[in-house]
Parts: sequence; C-alpha cells; structure tokens
Amino acid sequence: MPYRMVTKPIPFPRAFGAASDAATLSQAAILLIMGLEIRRDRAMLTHHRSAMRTLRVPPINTRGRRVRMDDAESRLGVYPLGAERQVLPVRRYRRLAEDCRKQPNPLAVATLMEACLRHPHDLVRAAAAISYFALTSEPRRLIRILEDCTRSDDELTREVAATGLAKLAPEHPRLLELARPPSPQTQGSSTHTSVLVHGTWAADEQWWKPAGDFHAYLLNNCRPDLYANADAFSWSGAYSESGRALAATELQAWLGAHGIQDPYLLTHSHGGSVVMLATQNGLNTGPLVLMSCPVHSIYVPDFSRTGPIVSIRVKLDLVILVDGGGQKFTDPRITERILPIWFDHFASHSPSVWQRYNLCSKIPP
Amino acid sequence: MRLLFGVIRLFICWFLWLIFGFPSAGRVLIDALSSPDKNIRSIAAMLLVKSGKRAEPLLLEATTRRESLPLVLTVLGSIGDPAVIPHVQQFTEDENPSVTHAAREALKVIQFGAKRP
Repeated sequence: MPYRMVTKPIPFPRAFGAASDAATLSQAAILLIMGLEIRRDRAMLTHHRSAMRTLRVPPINTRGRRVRMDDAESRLGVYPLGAERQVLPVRRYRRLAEDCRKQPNPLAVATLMEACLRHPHDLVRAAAAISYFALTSEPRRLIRILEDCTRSDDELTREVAATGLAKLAPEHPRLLELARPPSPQTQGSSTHTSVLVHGTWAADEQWWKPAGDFHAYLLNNCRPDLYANADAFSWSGAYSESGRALAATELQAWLGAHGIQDPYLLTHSHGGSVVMLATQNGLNTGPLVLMSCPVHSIYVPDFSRTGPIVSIRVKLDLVILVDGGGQKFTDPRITERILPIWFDHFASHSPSVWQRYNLCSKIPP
Repeated sequence: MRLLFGVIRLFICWFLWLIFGFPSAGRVLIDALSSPDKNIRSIAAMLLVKSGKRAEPLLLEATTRRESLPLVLTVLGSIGDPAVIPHVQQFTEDENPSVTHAAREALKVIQFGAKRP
C-alpha cells in the first residue's frame, strides 16, 4: 500500500489520536524507538536522538522489568489476543499515549503496547510486537503477530515484520519461506485452482471478471491460481431458488468441463448459496470463502465435501436484511470474520477493504 | 447514512405501491434499478421480485423503454412467470451482448423453474 509522503511526522502522544498515513507511520516509529529505550540500546538511541526529539518520544526506563500480560490486559479491559481481534476506538489509543506521557512507567508503556497489538493497521501491530518483546511476560504470542504481518498486503509492513522476526526468532520457519526464491511451482500457497463465484444481479458486473478490479486484486495479492481465462464461470444472478439450483448444476458442469477438481472457491452473496447447493449435489471443493453470504437453512454446505470455510461479512448488511437471511453462521466449522463496516453488502469484495483489513491473510491458504 | 435513507425511501415506496397501488411509487423502484449505488439497485430488484407477478407490468414497461435492461430481464427471470417468455425471447438476439446474455439466462431460469416440482 503506498503511503502518502510524510513531510511532517506527528509527535507523541498526538500521533495516537489520528488515523492518517502520517499518524500510522509516526505511531510505528514511536513504538520502535520505545523498543530501543526498553532494550536500552544506547548506540541506536544516540543515532536517533534527533528523531526522538521531533517525535517527542518520552524517556522510558523499565529497568529490565517485565510486565505481566494479565496486568496490562486487565488495565486495558481487553480479552487475550485470539482469533478475533478486538478493535479499540482511536480516542482510547490517544488516552493511553497521554497516560504514558504523564507517567512513562513500565505498566503504562505495556498497556499502550498491548493496545497497539490490537491496532487496525498491521504496521503498528508489527512495530508494537517488536518493541513489546522485551517488556511483556508473554513474548511468544508476539512472534505469531509478526508471522501474520509478514503476509500483509503492505510491503513496508512485510519488511518490518520480517526484520523483527529475524531478530527475535531467527530460526522461525517463516523466514525460510521468505528467503526461498519464488518459482512457478511454488508461487501461491496451494495446488488448487481458485474460482470466483459472483452473487445475485452481478452477472453483468465487472468486478469478478478477469481484469475486473476485485479479480485483479485476488490474482495479484492472494490467489495467483485464480482462474483468469475469458470463459470464467458465471450464472444468471437470478434472485430465486430455481436460479440458484440451476447455477449449482452449471457450476458442477463448468468445473467438470475445465478439469478442475477440489477448487478453492471465493463467493459473494448468494454465490455462496450456489456453491453450498453444489456440494449437496456431490461437488467436492477445497477451501470456501463466503463474502456477505446470506444464511438460509436450505443453503448449508456438505462439510464432508468442503475444505475450511470462512465467512467474511459486514455488520447489519442491508441487502441481507431485505433478503430475509441471517448473517451469522452458527455452525462452528464456519469461521466468521466480521469487518468493522456497517450496512454495505458490497464492501466484502472491495479491493480497498481487502487491503485495509489484510483479508488475504484471513482466508485459508 | 445516505444508504440508510435510500433504503427507507425504497421501502416506503414499495409499501405505497403494494397497499395503495400508486404507480409513481412503483416507478421509484424501477428508477432505483439504475442507481449508482449497488446496494440500492440490489434492494430495489429484490423488492420487485418479492412483489411477484404484480411487478410484471412495470417491468415489461421498463423493457420497452430499455431501462436498465439486463437487470430488468434478470428480475423477470427471477419472478419465474412462464407468461413473460415471449416478451423476454425478443431480447435474445439484441444488439447489446449484455442484454442478449441476460435474456437467455432469464429464459433458462424460467424454464428450469417451470420444470421443478
């Protein structure tokens, strides 16, 4: 993701109260400098003295003490880091930074860093993970965050995370993967052919077609094995059970005609219903990504025929509301990814949303 | 917020059209099929399908004016009434490939639905 050029970095603690590119980059820089202070890296601190003044990074002396993760989390009032990342409001970051400026003690610094591990921007998460390593009682979970960030859509984040990983866990297998030169055989992360299935009313739209914006995004960033010939699969897009039932048989026929077995399927809206019907009819698939898929009792996958299933959706999707479907899949075999976006049914296939929320790393490999 | 107001407006028009039969309210749904907002387009199309055969005169009128033609044909296909087959058929050789494709797909869906138990 290209950042806007920063001519004036935002100093501490104000940087933590904004969400612009300049704020994001300033936050990451401040956290990394704090990491130097925590590690008492005198040589690097001398080297960056001028930047520290510009960014007004407070002097921190943790005296080599580690802060218990529970203490920082309970002060922050958050759940432990898990599959679902808790999103904190921007004003909360600003307040924590303000606390840290007033009393730069180990607990205040640890609380800010703990909050930054949940930051919406993965560059800030990576910077926090690197700097927090020497301060938290539970550094192992930070390695997981860094590994995750090496798969970011943002090149700068990938570089920062990989560098951090190399310093903190030089034996990590992910580094070997990154060091391996890509070859046609190893490009992409699976042996499947990926297929994009559009939803209702979308047969005439461009986003899912080869060279369409979302197709191009997936192909270049997530699924290099995405089917990209002109005869991509399409169905009527009709809003009826008959339309979907017909589409399910057409999908099976299309895959058969193209010799594609166990495809990795990415679907939008009722495109997911079409695929689920097809599995009921005997289609075997690889992983299945459902984007803004309405939940209806008649459209359930045959789990014995599918790979891992992820459902990506927004909050209170208005189109699904009108459709009369539910939004939440109750079966635990379907992983839910809820975006912090409201109402917009089409946000889940927007390249900018995929980039912003790093969704490539949230779907099965 | 604009989306929310747009959806509320569609629902009000839909109710006015269904309950009181105001044609102008029904026309709002047809006009919404060409909205720049995909959410509004989709919701208008879904409401027309949910209205069933009652929406057909409005939709057939829209086809004669070639308004949002591919989407209107898909809506007709979704309603699934075999009575509209002759009307849809005339678009299967249209000069616009999107219209031709939508008409052929709509016919397939109607015929498939008619055969289903």
